[in-house]
Amino acid sequence: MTPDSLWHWTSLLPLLIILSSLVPGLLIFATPEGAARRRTALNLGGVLLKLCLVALMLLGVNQGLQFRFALPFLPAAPLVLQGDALSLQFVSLSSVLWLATTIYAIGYLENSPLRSRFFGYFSLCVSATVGIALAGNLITFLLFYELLTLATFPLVVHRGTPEALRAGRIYLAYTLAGGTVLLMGVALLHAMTGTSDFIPGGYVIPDAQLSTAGLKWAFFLMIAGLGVKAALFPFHVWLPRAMVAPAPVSALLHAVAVVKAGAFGIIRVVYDVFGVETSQSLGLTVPLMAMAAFTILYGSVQALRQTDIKRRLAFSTVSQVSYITLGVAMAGPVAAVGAIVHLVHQGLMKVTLFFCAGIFAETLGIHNIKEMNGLGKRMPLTMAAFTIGALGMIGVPPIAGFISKWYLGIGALDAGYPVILAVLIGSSLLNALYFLPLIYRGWFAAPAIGGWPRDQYPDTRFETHWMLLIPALLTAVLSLLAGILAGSLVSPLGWTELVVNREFGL
Amino acid sequence: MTMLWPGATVGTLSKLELSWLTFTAVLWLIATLYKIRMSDDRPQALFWLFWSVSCAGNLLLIAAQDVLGFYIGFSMMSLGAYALVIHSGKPAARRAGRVYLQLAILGEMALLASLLMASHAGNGSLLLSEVQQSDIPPIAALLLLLGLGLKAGFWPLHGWLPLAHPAAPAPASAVLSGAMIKAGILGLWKIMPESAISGQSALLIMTLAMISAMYGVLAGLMQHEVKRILAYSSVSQVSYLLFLLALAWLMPEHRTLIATVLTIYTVHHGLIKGSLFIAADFFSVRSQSLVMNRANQFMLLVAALAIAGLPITSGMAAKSALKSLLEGEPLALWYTLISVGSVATSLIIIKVLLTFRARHATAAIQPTDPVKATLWWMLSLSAIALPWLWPDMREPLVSSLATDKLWAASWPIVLGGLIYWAWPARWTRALSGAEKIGLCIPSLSLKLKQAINRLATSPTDFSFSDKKLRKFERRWNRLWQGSTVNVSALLLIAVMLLTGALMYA
Repeated sequence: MTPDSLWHWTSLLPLLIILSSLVPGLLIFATPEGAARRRTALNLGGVLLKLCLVALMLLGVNQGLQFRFALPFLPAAPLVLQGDALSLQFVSLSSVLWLATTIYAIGYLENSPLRSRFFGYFSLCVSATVGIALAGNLITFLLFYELLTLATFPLVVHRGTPEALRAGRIYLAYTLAGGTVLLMGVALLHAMTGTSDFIPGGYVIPDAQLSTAGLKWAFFLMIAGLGVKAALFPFHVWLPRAMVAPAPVSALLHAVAVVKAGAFGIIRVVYDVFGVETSQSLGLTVPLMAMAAFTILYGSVQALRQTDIKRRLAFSTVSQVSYITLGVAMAGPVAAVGAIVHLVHQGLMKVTLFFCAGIFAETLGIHNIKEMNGLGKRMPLTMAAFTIGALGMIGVPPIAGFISKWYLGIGALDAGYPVILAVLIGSSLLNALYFLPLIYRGWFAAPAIGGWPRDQYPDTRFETHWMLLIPALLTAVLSLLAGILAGSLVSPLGWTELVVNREFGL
Repeated sequence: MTMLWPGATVGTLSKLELSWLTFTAVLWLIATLYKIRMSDDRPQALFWLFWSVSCAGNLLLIAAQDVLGFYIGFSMMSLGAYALVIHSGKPAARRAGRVYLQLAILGEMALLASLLMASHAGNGSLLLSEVQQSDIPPIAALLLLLGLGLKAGFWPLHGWLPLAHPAAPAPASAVLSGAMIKAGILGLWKIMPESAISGQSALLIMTLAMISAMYGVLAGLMQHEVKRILAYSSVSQVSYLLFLLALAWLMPEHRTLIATVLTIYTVHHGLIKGSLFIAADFFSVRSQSLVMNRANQFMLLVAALAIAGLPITSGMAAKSALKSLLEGEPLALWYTLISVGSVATSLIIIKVLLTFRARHATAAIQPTDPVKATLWWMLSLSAIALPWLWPDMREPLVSSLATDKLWAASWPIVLGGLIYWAWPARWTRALSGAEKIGLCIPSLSLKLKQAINRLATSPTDFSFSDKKLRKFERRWNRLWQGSTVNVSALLLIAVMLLTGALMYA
């Protein structure tokens, strides 16, 4: 690559997308605590700039332009940022949800201490996520993956309570161990095949010189390392604990940043490093599928056993994120559509649910499922958003979750694993069992006689702070639209089909 | 390129769908207007929201020509109806709602699984017409029958029906029984491939349908509440629709003919059953005017007997159209069974009428709401007017006006009346177990709920104790700050490792 092209706008764009949240983040650290207006301007300015840049890149990729930024980094492994169709799927998701979450967080943390620290790390976290999405090879991916761990830790322990610190310690223990295992896997693979850019179809081609056992080990180590963040059983333990974090952090953690980074990594490793054919010929996909299927059912059963709203949602994430892994492991194009589109759909629905859970806790002090009785009358809009998210998780049409489930189901049959259909249906039933009671309580049960645990905004114009309400409604509407308009080209499904066509060379 | 979900196609391709759509829309419209005139003190906004969702879903599933559209409509209708069932907020309604919802979700999942398999068998096609041509595996056919059967509510899948219909407000029961349970039948008609049901299985389903038709009557005769009796009558009547479906699978060459009969029967039963359910509210008060009361009672008599196939009503058209399919030697047995079924239907209809009369005698005297009266009369008059307005129905009616046919239509009613009159009380006691064949769905449903509640009280998760982790961390820290022995030991290990590595290299 000539220096000329390094400074061409197409190669600078990926870098700019990362900088558009990194720079405001660093500036926010330097913002005094009292300067709320300046901080908000930095936050929102960064978000809007990023959205514009992402839109530009979306247009470009749709036209067939290449976006690649490379710097020499390690021997035979440069630092590469590139915008391909798959990475854009993730970048768009994180940018849109970053907008929603930022607005939500501003409302949520109003008048609470240490906001500069919070928003600084918040922006770093998004930068790292976008870096993961745009990473063009494994080394770059690893770099941002570790950065993400470090950037999210302060957010998890933000409240500083003993409980938060404990959760933070467990979070660090798991993710750092996972990162180390991933590092070993990447190093092993690097030693065997070198590190080239992610390419559709993968670059690992087994031949006589490569040890099959070595490849299998590398795959196993990488999946185990990524599985920690993707909350695959038995590496999921940190996730339900981490829900002690403030609601916007939970929302970000569960919908975009951490668990999705893991799932996205698994997609990259299976599709763009090993390639579907190699993974299958090495016999690696079936164990992965079994692991994902088990996690799906395990997470649902555990969710059923929780009485705390956020804990229930957390176990639901354990289950739902594994849909992505499951779809990837089935190694067929239709299942791939289901998996990659679920990356977006789950994000939209889960962020809605966490926003709503945060609103319940913030406005009325509701943490337990039992306290939700009659909530629909007090806050109909929030409850409506929550209902959309929960029904979507069950897979009730026409909400987005249904589309993912449909493609995963067809994909399972296509790939010749009808037993997966039973897993999907079983998981839907379990989802119904643990989400429908919440909806029932909210809409149909009579409110508790003693009133709400703690009513924060009894006389506001809306049912709660408008900055909390708007993002929840926005994401709820998006998850509804993503389902109803799934057949159009601008929907996540439309874009996913583009991604999968490129991945599978269709 | 479509704008909506993938493969979205909406339209009515056949006369069957068009008639189905029309009668469903008419029934929903009348029920909506009627409900507006009813007053209750329950929250209204939520009810109307779910009402509209349910109605939209019902219409969508009829008009949908693609798998996803059908499923979307079906789910909207099913889940929306939950709010209609529990509207009164009483414990019985909540119980009915729980059973309804559990079975509805179960049915949806069975339907989803079968649709996935069917669409896969049709090479990923999303068009219902193409799915119907495909070879679906037997398990998919079974799941389809189960999923849609749970909505149609024939025995043994009727568990929710006798609970939900009495619990819902009268217009809601009218649409539940008149329009929604028919959606299961329509789905089976539109989706189930002919190739999936062999002749043997078709005969099996026909037998099941006849058992169900009898079961509905017997269980209904044991009831005392008018809406419960009507609900069991629906279980019985929907079995005739299932019978028609099975007949179409048995004789695919007559599919077009059977389609007409199915349409006639459905439209007739939908409108008249709707009218009877609304009557449960309409007749809960008495008007001051004697003439008015007499006229209402006469209309009720005609409408109710229409279900039993009273001559020159839509019921007779439907029954004789059904019987005309069974003429000829190979199906003679079924012809007889259907005639026996007609007697049974008369029995339950007489029970309905007597229950209405007993209720009416004690009802409070109140001025009649003219709007309610008009709506109810419009619906009930369809029993007489429909055959003359609708050519498809006129034909079987006219052809059955011959004396022998009139006799064939009348004797079951007369015989039913005689049996009812001579019915010994001890038969009732002997039969009181009939309802138990309903497979104890309510108690199973309660057990499921209790099991889930128990689960939630003992949360545990796979994890290691993080206290151990902390201890480990402390020990590790101490290792570095410790005495000279620790440091020198570590240094020694490092040197050994390094030498080993060098030697190996």
